[in-house]
Amino acid sequence: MELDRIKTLLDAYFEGTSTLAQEKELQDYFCGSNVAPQLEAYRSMFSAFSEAKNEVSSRVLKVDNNPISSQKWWYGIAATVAVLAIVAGFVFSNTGMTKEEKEALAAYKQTKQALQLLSQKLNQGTESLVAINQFTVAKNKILK
Amino acid sequence: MNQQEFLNIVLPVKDKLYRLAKRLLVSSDEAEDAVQEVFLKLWKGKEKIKEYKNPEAFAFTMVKNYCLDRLKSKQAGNLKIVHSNYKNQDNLERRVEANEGVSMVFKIMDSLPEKQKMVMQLRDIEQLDFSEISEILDMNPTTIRVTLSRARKTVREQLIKQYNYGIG
Repeated sequence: MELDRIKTLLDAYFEGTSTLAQEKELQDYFCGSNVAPQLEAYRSMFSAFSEAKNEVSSRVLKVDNNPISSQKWWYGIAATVAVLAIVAGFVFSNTGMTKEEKEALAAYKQTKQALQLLSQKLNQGTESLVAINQFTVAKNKILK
Repeated sequence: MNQQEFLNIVLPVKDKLYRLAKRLLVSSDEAEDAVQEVFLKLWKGKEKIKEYKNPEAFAFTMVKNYCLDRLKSKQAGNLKIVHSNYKNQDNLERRVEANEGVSMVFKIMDSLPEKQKMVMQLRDIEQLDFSEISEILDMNPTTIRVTLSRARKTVREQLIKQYNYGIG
């Protein structure tokens, strides 16, 4: 009687049509002590499933690391900013030149000034030479 | 959500996730890594966890995807999966070893295609119903039934074959 029922359940089981409750029944039957000898082969299948369910993860979860690591993220940002500031400081302070360069620059400025003055004076000279054109004008009037 | 609330949600499923990961990755170390990785991801997205109608199924799906990715990258890199845990077996596995038939079933399960492994794991070991499995694996219930039937029949055939040869 019971054997027939188990066989029917097994058929459904292998077709994938058994319900969870029926599968539980099979599980109980095959993990029990009076398994019919002709069904012995199925016993290891069901005991394997129940064995497998006992396996547990042994590692301890470490999610609490995460909030700390998000703080570390801020440390990272802060460190980057600091490094950038230092690098920028070096780059900009380096525009302060050596003594020689400063002297050269001063000399350059002075020369430029002097040359500008010269050209100014020259321009004044040329301005006063405009009057010379009058000769051409007068000459053109007479010699047409 | 604080850490305790989060752990209250995820810890009850930890072992189930671990078992699924191990079924796929074989190595227990890698399975632990997978679970840890998935929990970190869930923790990062913890504000959203309550929006999912079934956080457990969501976690399962993440583990599944993680493991399949791992397997794919291993294949791409032509690396063999390292069955390191076969050497340093814990107590459970030694106990399992004592029962030849049971360890035979595990070996057969290892040889199944990934889909069949997952369906069998979720149904026969974790005893989830089809609607949950279909949510986790994104398969329709009919496909699940067929896949499950194939997996169970393969295990049976291989097992009977071994019985006929006589277990050495």
